[in-house]
Amino acid sequence: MSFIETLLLDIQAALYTIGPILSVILIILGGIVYGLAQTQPAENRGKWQNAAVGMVIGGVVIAAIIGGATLIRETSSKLLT
Amino acid sequence: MAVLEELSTASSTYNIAITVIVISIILSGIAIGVGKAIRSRRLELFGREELIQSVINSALIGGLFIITTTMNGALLSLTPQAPAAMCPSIEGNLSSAAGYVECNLVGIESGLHSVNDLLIHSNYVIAFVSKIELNMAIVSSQPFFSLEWVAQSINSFLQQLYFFSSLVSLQITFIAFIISAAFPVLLPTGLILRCFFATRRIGGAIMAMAIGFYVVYPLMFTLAFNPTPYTEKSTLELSQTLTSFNNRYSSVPLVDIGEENIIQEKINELSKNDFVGEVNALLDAVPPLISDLAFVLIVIPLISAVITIVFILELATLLGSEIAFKGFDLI
Repeated sequence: MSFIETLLLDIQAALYTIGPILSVILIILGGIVYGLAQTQPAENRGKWQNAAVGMVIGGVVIAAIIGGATLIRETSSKLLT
Repeated sequence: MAVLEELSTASSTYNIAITVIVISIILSGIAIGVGKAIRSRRLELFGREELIQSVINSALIGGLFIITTTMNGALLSLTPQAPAAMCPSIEGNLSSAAGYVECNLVGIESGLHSVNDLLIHSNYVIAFVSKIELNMAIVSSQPFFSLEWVAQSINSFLQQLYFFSSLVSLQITFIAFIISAAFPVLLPTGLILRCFFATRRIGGAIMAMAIGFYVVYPLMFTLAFNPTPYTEKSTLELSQTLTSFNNRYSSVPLVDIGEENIIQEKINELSKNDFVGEVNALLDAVPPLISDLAFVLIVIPLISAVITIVFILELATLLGSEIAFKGFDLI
């Protein structure tokens, strides 16, 4: 296995490790922010809730794309064949 | 196309390509997610763009072998199928338009070599005859003195023909490089570099260069060589003229120059045979070959180079830039 191949595989493995952690952090942080939003006055609550929902959606999107990365690659590689 | 076949199967090159694509997809996912979380529109759009590019790159890598073989097949339909007379090994080189061009250039090169050889011999005869001098008591005569200028002209023609020999050798080397490097090496390399956003522009440029040099550059040549090369007729005519001239007069420099009578007989014989007229016919046959060579080896490559450069610049912009889909932003 060539050096470049090993290097790329290491980067891929690192991203596969970082991605889910980031996803979980965003989802948990989203939950915390959503919980905190309930303690805020009515005029600010909407902002906090929006930020929380954004974090949760972001976390879910990261998880979905990382989980389906190989599938996306395999499916798209057959588009022209 | 061995590298391309290799790229379409499980190999080191293929693994590198798919790993880069997977990395690109993961990075795009992180960019979209983080962009949504911190409400950064720019980061989110960057992630979307990367995701689209990853899908396109993956499709291109998956279909690389089919794309190149289809492109090559389309190109071959524009290449003449009938063997050209000057092309020594046309059957072995019909696998690509660039191969057809290389083959014809090799034909021109070998034709040029034989013409150069014949012309050197003819010039030797003409230069010898122009220097023949008869000494008769108090006067001396040099009957073919005017041919000295012809010998000098042929020398200058020979220099030009050697220049064209170098030029044709250069073009053969260039075409051989295109055949061995454009599709088998540059195209896969460009595609791998295009997978990653940091090297997308250079990857697109390398891909455009590979396609431009392999597809567009040889096309003008196929027009110049179709149905027969421009140089073929003029080379043949000059070769025939030179061969007949050399066959008739190559023995002239072998006369015994110590014998005044033999020299006189030779001069009479040359005058009766219209030696000057034949030299003139020989001289007339050279310029058409030189102009044909200049057309095929200078004008055509220049036009091809300009068209290829324009094509490469346009294609590099297309391949190196982001390909946007308007409707994707709505998702």
